[in-house]
Amino acid sequence: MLRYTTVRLLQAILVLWVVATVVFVLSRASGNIAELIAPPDAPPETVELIKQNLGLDKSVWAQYWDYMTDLARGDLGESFAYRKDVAGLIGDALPDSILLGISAFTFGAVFGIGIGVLSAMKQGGLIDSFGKGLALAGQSVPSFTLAILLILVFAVRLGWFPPFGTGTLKHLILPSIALGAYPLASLARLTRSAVLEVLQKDHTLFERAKGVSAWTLLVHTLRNASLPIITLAGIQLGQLFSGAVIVETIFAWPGVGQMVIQGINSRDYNVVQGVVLVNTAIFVALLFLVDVSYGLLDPRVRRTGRGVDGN
Amino acid sequence: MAEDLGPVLRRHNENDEPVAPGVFGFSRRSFLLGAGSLAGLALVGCGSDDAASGDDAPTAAPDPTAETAPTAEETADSTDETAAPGERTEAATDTITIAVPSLQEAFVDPHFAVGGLVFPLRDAIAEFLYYPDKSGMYVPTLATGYELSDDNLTWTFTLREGVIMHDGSTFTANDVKTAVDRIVEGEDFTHLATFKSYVTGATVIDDLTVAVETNSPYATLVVDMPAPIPTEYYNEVGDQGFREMPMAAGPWKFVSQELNANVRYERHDDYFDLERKPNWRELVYAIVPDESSRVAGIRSGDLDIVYGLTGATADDLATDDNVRIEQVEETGLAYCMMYDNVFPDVDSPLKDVNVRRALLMAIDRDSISETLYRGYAKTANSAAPVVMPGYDPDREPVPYDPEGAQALLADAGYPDGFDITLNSYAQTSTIPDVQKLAETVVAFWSQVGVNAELNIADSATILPQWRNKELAGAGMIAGPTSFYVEPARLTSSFFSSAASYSTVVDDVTLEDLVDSINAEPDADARATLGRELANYLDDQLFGLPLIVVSSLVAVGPNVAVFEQIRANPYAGPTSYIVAE
Repeated sequence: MLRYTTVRLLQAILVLWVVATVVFVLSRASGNIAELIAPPDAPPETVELIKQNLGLDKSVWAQYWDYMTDLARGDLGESFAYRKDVAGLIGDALPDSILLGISAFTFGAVFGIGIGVLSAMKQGGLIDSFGKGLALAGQSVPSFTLAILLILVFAVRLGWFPPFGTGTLKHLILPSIALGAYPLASLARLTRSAVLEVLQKDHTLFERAKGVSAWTLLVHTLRNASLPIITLAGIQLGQLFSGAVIVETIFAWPGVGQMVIQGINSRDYNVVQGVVLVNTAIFVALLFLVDVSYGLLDPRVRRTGRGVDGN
Repeated sequence: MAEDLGPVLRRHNENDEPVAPGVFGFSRRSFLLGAGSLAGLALVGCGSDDAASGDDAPTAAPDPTAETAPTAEETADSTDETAAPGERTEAATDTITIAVPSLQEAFVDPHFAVGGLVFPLRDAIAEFLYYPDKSGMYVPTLATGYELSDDNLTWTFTLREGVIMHDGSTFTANDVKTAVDRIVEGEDFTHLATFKSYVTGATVIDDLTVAVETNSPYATLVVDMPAPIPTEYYNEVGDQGFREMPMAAGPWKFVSQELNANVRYERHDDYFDLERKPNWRELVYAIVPDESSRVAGIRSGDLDIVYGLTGATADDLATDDNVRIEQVEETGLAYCMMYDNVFPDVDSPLKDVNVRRALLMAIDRDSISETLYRGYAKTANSAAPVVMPGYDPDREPVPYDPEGAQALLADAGYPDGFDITLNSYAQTSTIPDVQKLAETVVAFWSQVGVNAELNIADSATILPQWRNKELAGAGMIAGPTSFYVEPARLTSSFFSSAASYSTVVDDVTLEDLVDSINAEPDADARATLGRELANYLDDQLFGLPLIVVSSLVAVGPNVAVFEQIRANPYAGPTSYIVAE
């Protein structure tokens, strides 16, 4: 298990380094930020001064070294547009994104797994049909369409919730539903198929034959079906945490998604780099936890030091 | 009114009376650099999506005869006997929430909030020595007048007495000097590079007199002057502290900012100008990037004023009993610039004036105005914006005539048309749906055999490329009308070799005209020259004037009166808004 965890940890660090490097190269390839920051009538000396201030007068390798050493110290640089420390900016915005992500994930996971289990248990019945229809709709309707529909119905027409903004629990409801609909659908479909598969296994049939209670059977079934569900849940959670750009924009939610859009529009490279790196770190960390959870849930993984897929 | 605007600079004595102007004797280059700097200031940080997005910038000339800061006519109807003369009746509404698509700056510091999209932040908190009145004409506000030294290097401002700053201190010349010194000596003000390059410092003569020194003639200093800030408070909290909790003398005091969400202000109860003092207590700028969400917000009553609407949305909202649509007319002029004229060695059909005319004749601009812009736009009759002295309202626009266009193209040697690139940014706050406009232009051109390939990019990509003359063919550009109240602005933005931001032509006749305008201190003569300039541009068509659009604003029931500075496309200032 220790070897397994160590390998996964090293892989995570490698992924972060690769992403940081790619982001650095792409941002340098997309133009000179000093030209954009300088006033239109700025003389060349001013542009040069800005380059010096930003360290852009150095060689690319020197910039890369500075970037990596700063990163190692946790310094993500300063935002050109916001004139603030990027880590601080992300630190301010991330809690909003995480709050929305957790809320949306909770909504999606509770209803998704619940609907999936019920659909599997009542396969072919009314609940199953409803569950399948809901999952299809959840995966088919784009989040921005759902968001606008929710606003029109529940904010404008009924006046139950505010149409955008933050501050109260009510502000959280509509964006959570809009954002959580896709994970709900995905988890419902996967849970249904995973539970159905386990229900058809010999050991489940044996348990049924033994007369095990429905609750115990459900617990055993879910545990056996949990690996793919946890994998998908981890990925979905990572995506939700890393900023739901469209949903945050529609609901004027001041999270990381909105920040990265502003950063892209104003060529605020440090912000874009910082957000991408933090998102990657969150994603990698979650997947690392998912991997580690395999070992906890599946004794075969603990013994072999390999994932369920053999890697 | 626009035709009466004076030159950018007139001299004032301390009684705000005009001083014999004489001849300034500014070099053409220095004048253009000065005027261009305004475009520069306006552009930086504005989302960079306009050719020159500076309402801040001097639109009009400081007028020696102007009354200080006039108010909306409606103010008279909104006053009561208990209020001081000219003061508006206190509204029942406590808070007005204004939704804008973007407010990028982290700080509401008035010296950093420069550029169209963040002007609302600056205009809420700041008060300037001179600022445009409702007609767009610059009038003295914190200043009462100024004099320019004979060598044109020292500007001596006399200041208003009894103005209370946000920290409770009384406004003095020290506060002007503090602002000037902060920018001149500060390292972070590269966005004000031009101001820094001209201004060497300020000297306090007495409490109400300050002299600002420049190292060379700086034509637009009056309107470039930064907002004064309270000296004692600034020294106490330091520069960083000031950025986080700025204070000035404007109608609103900063309260808080939630990045990418909202900025809150409370009324400055001691604001000096009772006629412009808000009649409600709290102002909130809500950042709502998505148009449909802004619409939902005003429908649900969560928002009171919504900026950034398209015509289709405005029409839809107009059916709502609780919402009314206000037009700030003629806020943006959409040009199609003929870039190729700036490259002397490039062989291009766009260098033939008849080809340029044919390209304009091929576009049905009335149809575009009526369909794409739902009637909230009209065909531009001139390259000169409506507020520019010399603008000719009677000039007939070039008519839509595709057959005539084809004939002109054939005469010019292009009977089968030609290929061209049309560059455009994807969006701009000044011209809604600019990408669709570009696509429509391409479609019309194809009808006369001109095959245009669209190059659409975000403004952060397109504008630096244009500035560095890396774009060929033609290109869409949005001119915020209010910026061009001075003929020199038009040339300094687009149409002369000294254009600070970008240019589309190098033309001797045009250069001579620019020189004449910049050497002429008399307002009437400048208007005449402005007319000459407009006529020349309209004859030569270095840039095709396409359409003039209105800014559309949705207003809810909590707002009794909504007015804006003439042709100002941006949210703020709130001087002419009266709450219900």
